[in-house]
Amino acid sequence: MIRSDDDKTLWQRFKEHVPASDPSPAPGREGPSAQAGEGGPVGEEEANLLRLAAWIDDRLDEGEREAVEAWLAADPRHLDLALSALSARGLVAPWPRHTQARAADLVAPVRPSRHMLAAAAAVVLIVALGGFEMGRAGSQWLEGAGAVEVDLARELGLVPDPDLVETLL
Amino acid sequence: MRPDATPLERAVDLTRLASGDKIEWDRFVRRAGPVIYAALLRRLAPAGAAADADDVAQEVFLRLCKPDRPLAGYDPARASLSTFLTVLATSAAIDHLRRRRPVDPLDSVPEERLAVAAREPVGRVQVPDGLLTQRQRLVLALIYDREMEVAEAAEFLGVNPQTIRSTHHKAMLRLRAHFAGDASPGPLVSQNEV
Repeated sequence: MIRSDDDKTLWQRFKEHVPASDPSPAPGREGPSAQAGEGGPVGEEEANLLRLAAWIDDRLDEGEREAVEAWLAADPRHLDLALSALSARGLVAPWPRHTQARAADLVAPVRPSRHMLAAAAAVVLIVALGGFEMGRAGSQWLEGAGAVEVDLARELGLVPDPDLVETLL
Repeated sequence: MRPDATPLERAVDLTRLASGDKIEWDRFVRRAGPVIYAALLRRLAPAGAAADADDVAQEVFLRLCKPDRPLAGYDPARASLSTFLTVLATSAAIDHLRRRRPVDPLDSVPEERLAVAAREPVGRVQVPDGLLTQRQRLVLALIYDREMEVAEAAEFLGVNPQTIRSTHHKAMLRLRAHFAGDASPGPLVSQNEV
C-alpha cells in the first residue's frame, strides 16, 4: 500500500491548480487531442479511438504510447473511456434478434457491390433474351397456323384463288 | 492478415465491406454485434440504462456503415477489430449517458448550491508546467482517483509494479517539495522521465 491521506491531499491540491485539459500532441506526432464524442472533426475523434485501441492492444511504439498516456492523464473522461473499454475487451453478449435485424436493415442501404450489380444485369439480360425468343417462336407458330387455315378455306371454296382475284382485277 | 488475428477478423472481409457488399455487411452485423453489445451493456447496465443498448447499438452501426468512411476509419494494421469495436461502442455508451443525464434548470437549484466556496487564491501557489510528467499524473490519477492497487495500475499501463512505485515516489517528492514552499521542485523533468 503506497497511498496515504497526506499524499492524496497533495494530489488534490495539484489538480486544483492544474485543471484537466488536453495536452498538445507530442512534437512531430499526431497525438490524441479530441474528447471522444465531443468537439473536433469526426475523423480526428475516430483516429483517437483507433489510437486508444492500438494502445490497449499494445501495438504502439514508445513515442505513441507516451502521447496516448498524456491524453489519458489530461482528462478524467479519457481515462474513464480507456478503463471501461479495457474491462469490456474480449467480452461478447447475446445479440438479440430484433437488434440484429434493425442493424442489418440499417446497413442494407449500403451501395450494392459490383458482384451484385453484375448478377442483376445478368438476370435482366436473361429475361430479355428469353422474352425475345418466346415472342419469335410464338410469331412463327401463329404464321404456321394461319397458313393451314387459309389452305383449308381455299379448299372449301371460301377464299377466292389468288389467280382468280388477279384476273378479276 | 496478422498471425494473431482474432476470429472476428478472420471471419470478416474488410475489402468487401469497404466496397459495400450487402452480404458481407450482414455477416459483419452477425459477427460484430455481440462484441459491440457486450461493450454497451458493460457500460450502460451499471447506470440503469441497459434498455438503451439497442438504440446505442444502432448508432454504432450507423457510424460504421458510412459509405465515405467505412468502419469508422478502422485500420487493421493499428489495432484488432474487436478492440476497436469495443472502444467505439464504449465511447458511444459514455456519450449516450452524458446526453441523458438530467440537467437541473437554474431556477430549481437551491441558492446555497450556487454559492462559490472561498478558495485559496490561485496566484499564491503557482504550479509550473511540467512539475509532473504525464506518466506521473496518470499514475497518481489511477492510484488516488481510481483507487487502484499498484498491481492493477501496473497491469493497466503494461509496466511492472516497481515502476509504478518508483513513479509514484518521484511524483510525491516533487509535489511535497513544491507545496511545502520551502524547497525548490528542482529542474523541470522531461515528459520521458517516469
